[in-house]
Amino acid sequence: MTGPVEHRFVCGLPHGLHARPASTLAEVAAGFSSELSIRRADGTGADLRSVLSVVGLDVQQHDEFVIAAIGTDATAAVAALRSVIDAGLEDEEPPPPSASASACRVPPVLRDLGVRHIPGIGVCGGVGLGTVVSVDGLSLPPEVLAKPSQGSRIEVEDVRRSLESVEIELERRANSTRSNEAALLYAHAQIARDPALREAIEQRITQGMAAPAAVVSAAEHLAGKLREAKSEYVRDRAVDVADIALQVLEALIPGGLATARPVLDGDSVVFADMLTANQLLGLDRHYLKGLVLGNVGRTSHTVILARGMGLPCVVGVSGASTAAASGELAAVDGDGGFAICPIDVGVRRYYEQDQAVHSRRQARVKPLVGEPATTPDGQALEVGVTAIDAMDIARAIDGGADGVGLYRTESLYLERDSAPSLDEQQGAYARVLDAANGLPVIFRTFDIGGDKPAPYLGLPSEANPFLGVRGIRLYERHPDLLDTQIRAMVSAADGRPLKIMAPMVATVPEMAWFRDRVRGVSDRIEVGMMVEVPSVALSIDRFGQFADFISIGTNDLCQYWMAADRGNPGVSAMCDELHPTFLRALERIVADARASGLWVGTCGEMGGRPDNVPLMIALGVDEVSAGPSELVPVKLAVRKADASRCRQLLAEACELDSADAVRELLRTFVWHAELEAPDVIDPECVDVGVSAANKAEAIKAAVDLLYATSRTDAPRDVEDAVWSREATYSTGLGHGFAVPHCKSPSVRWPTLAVLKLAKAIDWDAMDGKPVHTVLLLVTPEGVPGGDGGDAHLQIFAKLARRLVHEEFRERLSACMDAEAISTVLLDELGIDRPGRSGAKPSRESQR
Amino acid sequence: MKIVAVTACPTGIAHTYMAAEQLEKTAKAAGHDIHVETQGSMGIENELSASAISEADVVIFAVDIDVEKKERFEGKNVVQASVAEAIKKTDALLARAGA
Repeated sequence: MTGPVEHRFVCGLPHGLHARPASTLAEVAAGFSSELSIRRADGTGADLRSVLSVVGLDVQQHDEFVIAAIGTDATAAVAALRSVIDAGLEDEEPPPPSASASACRVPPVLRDLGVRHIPGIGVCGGVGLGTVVSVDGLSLPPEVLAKPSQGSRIEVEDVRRSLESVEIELERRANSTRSNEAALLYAHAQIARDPALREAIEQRITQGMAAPAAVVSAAEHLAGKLREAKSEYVRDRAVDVADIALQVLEALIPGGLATARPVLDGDSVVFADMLTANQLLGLDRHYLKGLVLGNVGRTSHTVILARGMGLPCVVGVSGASTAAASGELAAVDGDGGFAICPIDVGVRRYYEQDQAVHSRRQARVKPLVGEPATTPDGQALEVGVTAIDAMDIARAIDGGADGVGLYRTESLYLERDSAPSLDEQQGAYARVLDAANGLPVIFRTFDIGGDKPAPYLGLPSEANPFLGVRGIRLYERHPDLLDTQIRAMVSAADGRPLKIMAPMVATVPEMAWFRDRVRGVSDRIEVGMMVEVPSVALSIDRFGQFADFISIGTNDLCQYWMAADRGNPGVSAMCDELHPTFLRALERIVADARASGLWVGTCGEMGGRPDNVPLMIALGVDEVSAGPSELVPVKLAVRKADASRCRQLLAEACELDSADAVRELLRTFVWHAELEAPDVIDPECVDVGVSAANKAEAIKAAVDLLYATSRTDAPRDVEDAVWSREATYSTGLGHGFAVPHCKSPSVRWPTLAVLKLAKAIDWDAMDGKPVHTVLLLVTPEGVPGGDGGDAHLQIFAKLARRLVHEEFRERLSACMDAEAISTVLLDELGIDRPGRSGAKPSRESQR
Repeated sequence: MKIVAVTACPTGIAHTYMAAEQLEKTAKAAGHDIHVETQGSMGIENELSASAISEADVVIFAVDIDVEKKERFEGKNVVQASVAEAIKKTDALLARAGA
């Protein structure tokens, strides 16, 4: 036996040794038999195989730590750990604090209503209204607490069994989902097998506690240790420990924790001191309208999931579970960072109006996203959706998708005892085509291999399933399966156009065979292939003889191209689609495909990111596929990307040497030279007969006009800016007119919004008279020279001067509708309006 | 009489110009000769010339912020007022300026 082998490190990770790098170290450690520990300069230490203990050490960037090994393979273990640490452990970027959290800010209108608000931190925007449902965390019912231990041996066995079943269940779920949830489930499975958790529970049982109490006490102890950490990210992992503890308790006492899993039966806002990710997943999404949470951080999995669901969420509410009475009506305002309970008619009205404005804005953008996206210089890019089920597809098509870029079919084949029947498949495919409502759908034939369970195929287990018999390689062994699938697709299409493609094509004869097989069923199908095996990349022209289209699977192609498994933390950073060598490959593939007259689609995360749109446009692909939530951002990105600039960008990117350099290039990319500014004065921003009870409501109504017409994305910031100007002295200038105004970075386009109120309201005006007409003047701040230069300021100055004159005010007061008001304003301010764009200052005058 | 004035408000979007217009309108109606310089978000406009300043009987600062290039008015009879006063109580302000 060798003595301890030690090595000293300095932590280079910006977020310290948090869960992700700690698990990498634990994984490496698992390959050795030596005792491995980690120790800080202050003498505190932990078992390196326990992620929880390592994370609990709270090693921050620049902190020193020592890794020590005792055992026969101590030297090799330390060497292996050194190489992993020196290579730079993969780090996960927690969300930037400023972008993802907003401290409590109650809008002026609600403040005026004098309702009771519950302050917190908004971590997920939007507003939800519903009945208060209080959810308990790790609290045991009294009858469980009262139950004495049955002896430590029995209790320890119970706990081990429960931990194991929880771990197995988590891994099973992780393996059967492809979404973001998988990462969460794997992380949780790791906590379930963490020695620190098991030891802490068993120690308490030995001291006489029954298993459930020991689980609660151990989890609270470990969570408490994590909560003391300096790093926010580590503190937020406390909820994960509670999550596992809760699942273990449920395994120990089936049905005994009903209060932790309420059944929602109507629109609900959940109040909880702590809500675990698993509890959240167990709540009925249909009825869940918002979350008001206590000790749950913004980088917790709970919050990350809530964001993914678009669920309004406020955290950091002290005493959240008792902050509102169950059964009362509550509102949670994720943008404002507060909840209101109980809510009255005024609050309801406020949020109803808010919702109406939001709908107006959506309705205005909808025709824009419903149309195909084209760059200002005329290059089109179809944006399809990558979706799993018919419901998602229907929603995405409604939300502006141009089709379905990739419909995977393997889920029909997995985790069952026999292959799906023709009827079953036909039903599934018909539902997809119905959902697509006439837009193109690309079906990919089943991609099953050694790593995906389909026992009826009798697939041998392979050392390297990613390089084994999968995709098209399996078809020659099971041609009947393929024929059934193609027939099911053809009969589901029932005359509708159909596109089918094969996965994992590597050679020309494979593709020729696949085409024959498809043609054997029908000659009306477009036949395509995935481009995901590098062998294809340099011979697209040869494949073109047998394919009508290609779809580049960027995820897998990049893995194979870089020979780096994205699931392996040691090398996953290499698997970066922005790598210049990969961009060059794509360039070649697309150029060759174009020369062969093939339609080029892409599927994979690369094309679905709005930031990458310039690259996809430059490559000249016909289509990208994006997840449902990215459809609109990608389409809007296309609309503002100048294709010739994009091509320059790609040329520059291909001359760089690292993905990070390309990322930086993209970050600083100037999308377009010319912004098409809307008119400063536009009937769209004029509203007549507005009912506002007070100044706060009137200002909000005016700002809402800006929001509804996309002239601002942050109406509450604009409202605040208007109010801070109002604080210097009232903008009520007398004779019933008010001119609230502001400069704000949240204003996108200079605008004059006009409200004619149904009933005059007090504005604390210079002459003390109530105000009936509100002219809101807003201008962007922080844009030197502005978009439109001084032109809008000249308009505002002229308007201010005209307002001094009674004839002007009378003319304005005589107008009864938005169009008339705009016309008078344009006329009085001497703005020509040829067609509809006259108020726009001419480009020349700005330069 | 000859009046020169400077108007300037915090945001420089609206009240600067309203005050200028109101002063011009009221003073001209009373038969005075008036020049108003605005110091708003577009910077200085209608800048007062040295001769206009030297010939003026009185200078009115209708401002809520500091006047730019204040040195131009050294030695002159300056009447200080707020922007609101220029808009609301124009007659009284002109009277205060001796007009």
